[in-house]
Amino acid sequence: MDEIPDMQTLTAVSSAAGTAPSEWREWLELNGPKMLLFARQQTRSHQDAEDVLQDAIVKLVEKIRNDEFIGGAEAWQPYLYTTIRRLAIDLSRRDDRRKRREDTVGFEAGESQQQAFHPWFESESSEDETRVQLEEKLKELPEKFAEVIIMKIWGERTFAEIGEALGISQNTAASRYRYGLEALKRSLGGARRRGDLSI
Amino acid sequence: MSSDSSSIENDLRQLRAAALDDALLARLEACAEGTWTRLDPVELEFEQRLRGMAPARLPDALMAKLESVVAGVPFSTEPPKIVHFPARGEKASRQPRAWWGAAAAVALFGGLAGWLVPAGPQEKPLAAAQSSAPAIQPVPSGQLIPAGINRGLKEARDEGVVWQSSQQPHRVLRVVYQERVSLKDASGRIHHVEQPRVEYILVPAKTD
Repeated sequence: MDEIPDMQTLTAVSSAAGTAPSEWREWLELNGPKMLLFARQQTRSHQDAEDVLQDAIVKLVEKIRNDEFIGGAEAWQPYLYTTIRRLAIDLSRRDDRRKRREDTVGFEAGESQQQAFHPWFESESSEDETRVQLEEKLKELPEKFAEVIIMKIWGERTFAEIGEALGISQNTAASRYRYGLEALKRSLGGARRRGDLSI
Repeated sequence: MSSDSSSIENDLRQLRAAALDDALLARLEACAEGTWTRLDPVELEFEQRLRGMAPARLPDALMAKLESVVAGVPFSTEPPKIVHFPARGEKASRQPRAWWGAAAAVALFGGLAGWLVPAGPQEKPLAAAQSSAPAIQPVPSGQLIPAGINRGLKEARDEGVVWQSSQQPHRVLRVVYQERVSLKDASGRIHHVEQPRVEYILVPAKTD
């Protein structure tokens, strides 16, 4: 049986080919990080976030390939945000069922160790404290606030688009955003006042 | 109702719902005026600072996986073909589109029949025509008359919401019609021509 090359090998082969980046690659490089960030906020682990993002892209591509996708490229992101959220909810339900059957103590410890190697944000070494604090505080925020903040700030979605993706009105999205921003500002307050953070 | 219940009811009626606090009142007012979604300068400034932290880029392995997923799929930024509803107040023009369709179908059918059917009784039928369209029974051309037209709704599906450049969301409905034209030949036989037709209808979506 042929050996399946691992992803690092594939990447290396792709880079070695020396071809100009495809339009898809450029699009993924530009928009992928925003959507992965959202997927990370929606899921319990880095691995789950990657799986959910990949599944969402597969669904989008299938629709495009079958000529079933309505809208141009500007409609891809709203579709992907909605799909990522839906897939994350499905995954979470499956995980809940699975975890009821498992002893998770050791598993969770290992999982949180893994998370440390996958920061949510890029940072220079001087901003590392900011990155760590921001990521931590975002994880502590109620999910309904955090998801709106991530979609609005890093996903650059409008309140109307966020409302559509989450099934709420744009005014509710704006309320959650405001309260979330306020809560985030408060929780980062101490470190900001001490001048430990660059935000 | 007993006297006890009646007395409780009266007591409850004396109570008044608590007044809205100022913050909620201001929020509801802003929602009603459509200004709640506008951020104030302080919020915008904090937002800007947060935006300065860029999300981590995709890991190489994930990027490679995603590239393999999209491989071979055309990257098209073309907007969809969408039929807009007529603007409000615009009078719908009454065009006999269905009958034009019927006339076109008749012409098409007649032309096809003319091509398939030999000019004289002695000539042999075209083998190619026989093999490529075995289901079509030859009929004398020029003797078909429309016997009826039916434009049935076959399927209607909500395709979700699209965002156009105007930032106004629209719900897209995909409507499939099955148009069926019946034609009668000289001998009274009925021939049917069927053709599906798909329309996309864009309806302004309510976002609030």
